[in-house]
Amino acid sequence: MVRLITHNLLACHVKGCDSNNFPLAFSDAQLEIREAEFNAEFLKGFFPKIEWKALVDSARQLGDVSLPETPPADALDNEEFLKALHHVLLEVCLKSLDAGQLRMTSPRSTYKKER
Amino acid sequence: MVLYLVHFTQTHESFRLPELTSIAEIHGFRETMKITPPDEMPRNDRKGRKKTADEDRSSSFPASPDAPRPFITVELESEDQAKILAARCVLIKAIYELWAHAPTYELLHELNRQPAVEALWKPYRSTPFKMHVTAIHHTFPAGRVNEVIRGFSYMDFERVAMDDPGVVLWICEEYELRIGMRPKTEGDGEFIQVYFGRLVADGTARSLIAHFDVKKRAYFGTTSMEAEMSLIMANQARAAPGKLIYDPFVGTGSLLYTCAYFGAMVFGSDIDGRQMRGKDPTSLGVMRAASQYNVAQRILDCATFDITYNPWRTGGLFDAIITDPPYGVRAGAKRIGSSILGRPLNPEPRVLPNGVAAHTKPTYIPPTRPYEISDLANDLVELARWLLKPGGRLVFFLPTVTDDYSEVDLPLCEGMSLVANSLQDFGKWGRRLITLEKVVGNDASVEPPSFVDHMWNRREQQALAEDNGKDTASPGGHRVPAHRRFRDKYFMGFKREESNSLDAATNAS
Repeated sequence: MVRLITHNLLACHVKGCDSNNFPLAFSDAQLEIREAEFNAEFLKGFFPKIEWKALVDSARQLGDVSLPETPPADALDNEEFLKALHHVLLEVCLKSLDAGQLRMTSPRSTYKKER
Repeated sequence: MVLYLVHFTQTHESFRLPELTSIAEIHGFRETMKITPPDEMPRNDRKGRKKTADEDRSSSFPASPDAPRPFITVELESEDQAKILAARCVLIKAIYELWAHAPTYELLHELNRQPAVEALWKPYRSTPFKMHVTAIHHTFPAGRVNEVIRGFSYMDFERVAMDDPGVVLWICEEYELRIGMRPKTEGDGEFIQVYFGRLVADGTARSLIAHFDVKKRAYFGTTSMEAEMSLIMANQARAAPGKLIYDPFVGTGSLLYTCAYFGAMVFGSDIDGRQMRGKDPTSLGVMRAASQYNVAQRILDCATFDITYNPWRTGGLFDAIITDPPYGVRAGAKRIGSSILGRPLNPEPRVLPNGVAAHTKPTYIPPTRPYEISDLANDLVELARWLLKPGGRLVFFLPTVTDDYSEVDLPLCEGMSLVANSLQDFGKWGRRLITLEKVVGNDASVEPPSFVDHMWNRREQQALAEDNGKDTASPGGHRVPAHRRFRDKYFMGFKREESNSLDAATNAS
């Protein structure tokens, strides 16, 4: 089980693979919620590092549509947005459909990364 | 600004000030805080002159000159700051507001009666009070404590309250540490200093040591960091709410729990997933312990990977990286690679006779080879420079060989500045808690480290030097750090002849 924040930070680890290496693709995954502590300061500090499109796409692939395509202009001061961001970034998790390990694949390389 | 006396525990002396300044930084009062360096703390040579060599030899119980003293004085803007330090610094026993101190009681009472000092204690005259008379490295003979208390009667404090006092007045005679068998009360009255003040706060952080006791933990292993040190490390890392902290050799998670306890969100990785998961297939070991400490909601994730093939998309992520890397003694320090030095990894997956790719099998173990501690340490510092936010800290233990250690051995690199270096001394070896701070910005010049094969490079340099008839003992003229091949030195008991020849052989690998 992988939180979406982790998925947002992982790229292909093969040496020299530095284009088309993110995000890792997944299939046969379901959504699971793991609780996390809400901390606005943490979200504001982390926000600049988020790859937004990858985050939204992966959430939607799992069936969560709560995040907008682009963040609002007042993102970091918007309490409602921060709560939604907290939920998707920290609490929505990728879990394998079967009992086995979740498979995430680098978009370019043929090697699979397993978690 | 008010003057406070900080009473430290006896152990881990070199960790005291780094811990204290780290906590002051978290709460924003590092700049205004003024610390008296330990060697400037007042003392009293009672005869008013240095002891002669004869006197020194004739004394059966010489003072130990290197014994650390238990106090420093600190100027702080407010009592709240003192309480913050006492609540979080694991090495603090108590903090007092210091009213007067002197080499004799005569001088002490003289100082105590001065208007400026009287103004400090007069407001407490009608508060129910208790006097706590104590001594460092000494025992009072019967009756002397009462004599001391009576000496303060001029203060005219009105109401004694042994239970539940509103203020605790503290008197302490500090003696030299004297070693050897002697009558318990010998040398009574010959203290270095006597201190007088008011108890502001007992050090409550020390109770966390029992709280995080590894033996009571729901999940732990042979390499789990002990409670006290994992708390000190979390303080050095300045763990606090809103921060993101990473342990790249997370093992059984010891450092995650204390950082999370202080409010940080934490992430761990390790080359060996079994260390994080444990043997129980129904629950993850690290999460069991995290739940025990009520910090499960701050553990982001734990991942299995080798840092030399790390999957991080970008740098500049973490407020701190905190870790106890494997020295190669108990935990095998290894990295992915061929066990044959210099041979590159096969770029194609190995396919078994039945057509299955070997690495897809659940029992697959990737090929690894030793990761020598001095190479690991250099790589870790470069990795931290990339992964840390500017101003972020790397806090890690470096094993050192006592006789050979020199500060130039520390793995530094440009952009990382040394903040603290505290020794935990085990005799022939030790480990040093190194704190580095990233002082370079997040511009494009901070690249991820390449994790080159240092062993192979050294072998190449050695071959080159041999070809050119040069001295092969230290190719390139670089000093061999004392912790090179630490693992081998450890298992040889740090015997010198072996280690000298080892260093010569070391440059071959």
